[in-house]
Amino acid sequence: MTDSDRNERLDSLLGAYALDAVTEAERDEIEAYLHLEPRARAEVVEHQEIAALLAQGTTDAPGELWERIASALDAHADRPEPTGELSKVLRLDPARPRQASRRVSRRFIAGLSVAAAAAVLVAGLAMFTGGGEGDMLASALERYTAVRDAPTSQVATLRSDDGTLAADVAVDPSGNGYLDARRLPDLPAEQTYQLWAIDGGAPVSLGVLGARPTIAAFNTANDPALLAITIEPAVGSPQPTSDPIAVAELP
Amino acid sequence: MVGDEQLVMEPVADAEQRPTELAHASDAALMFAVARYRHDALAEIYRRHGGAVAALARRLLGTSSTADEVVQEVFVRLWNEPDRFDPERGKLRSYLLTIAHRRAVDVLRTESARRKREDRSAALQATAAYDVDREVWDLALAEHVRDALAGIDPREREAIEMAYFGGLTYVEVADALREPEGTIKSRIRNGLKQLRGVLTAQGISVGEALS
Repeated sequence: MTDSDRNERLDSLLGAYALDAVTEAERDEIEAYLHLEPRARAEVVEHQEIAALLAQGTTDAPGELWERIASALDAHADRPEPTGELSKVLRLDPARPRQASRRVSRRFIAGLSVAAAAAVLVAGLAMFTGGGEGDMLASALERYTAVRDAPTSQVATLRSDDGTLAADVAVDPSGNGYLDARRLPDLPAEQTYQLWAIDGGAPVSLGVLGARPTIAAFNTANDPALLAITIEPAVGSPQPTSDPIAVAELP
Repeated sequence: MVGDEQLVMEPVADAEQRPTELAHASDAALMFAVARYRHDALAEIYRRHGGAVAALARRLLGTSSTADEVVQEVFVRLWNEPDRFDPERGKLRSYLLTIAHRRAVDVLRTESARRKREDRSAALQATAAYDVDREVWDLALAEHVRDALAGIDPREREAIEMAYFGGLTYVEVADALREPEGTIKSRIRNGLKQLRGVLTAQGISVGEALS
């Protein structure tokens, strides 16, 4: 059998493969083929999407089953940093041990008149690292600069009360923001910086920045009155566990 | 309002309520949070997609306990291996249903499960809260999908349904229908392509429909 014949045979099985309607031996053969053929891979994704629509239903998620799932989760705190596609939006580089500077007092933010803005929507936070991802960092810098220089953007600097810590932020009218945190000192590996939006209620996490932050992209649905950075355990925290080290009121 | 000398960052007032940020976050953002060990993000993903995953598993496996084990495996796997989901290769719901279907088929094809196949009961109704707007959307979408299924060659529809919901291989479908295997392979593949075409003609973006 020629390669062409073989490919044709495997192509003819892509629909059945997407529905898990092939034998195990065929499955293995097709999966090896998919690694080499992006066109075939794309076709399978399309078939699987259609299959997912066929399975679409109006059934509720069983509440009692969630309890079983939740109890089975391994909440170990030493999960490795994400790899694969998720690593493109989450930090992956090892941290260098170095002690962070002291934290600012809360007086800076106390007494601020914080408007009761609508809840902040977290749409994810992307970190752009240096090293092997220099192009990504350059691209992020370019986008950050473009937003920072646009006349309609909100621009501010998060600072500690003694001015020794600083990180610049720019947010466009759509809520797309960039944080330039390259001036923050490195943290020990077991810690991370984390960015928060504060609108007068509970702080909302805009994401973890890693122990050696660079440029971070984030999104907020509405203008938060205040941004703050805290130091948290390496995996991040649902809510702050420490006082902010730097804060800024958005204009 | 921030009080003098008070810590600005207050805890979430009501742990029972879904945090607003999670309720409105995209699936991709939730996956980032899952990668950061946020149980509440996984809970939100389960709330959004657990019903569809459970319905599919129960449609294939019938018995609640086995189907529920599959559902549990799917979400625990998502928790333990979040990197296996590639947001550039499709929607989260499609990913969850794909792994649920494969696992259910694997279970179904074991001998013990084969013996029980005749005992399959109708899909069970689940109980957790379900968004009204989501339900309306799913109902509308289900109608479009039904229309699309009605719009393709009935022989293609039959082959797809036997394979997907019956858990049969194309060889088994061919045997059951007394058709050549190549014919069934073609009907499944062409039928899936036809379905996409009909849905697109109805103005349904398949990718968005799974969001």
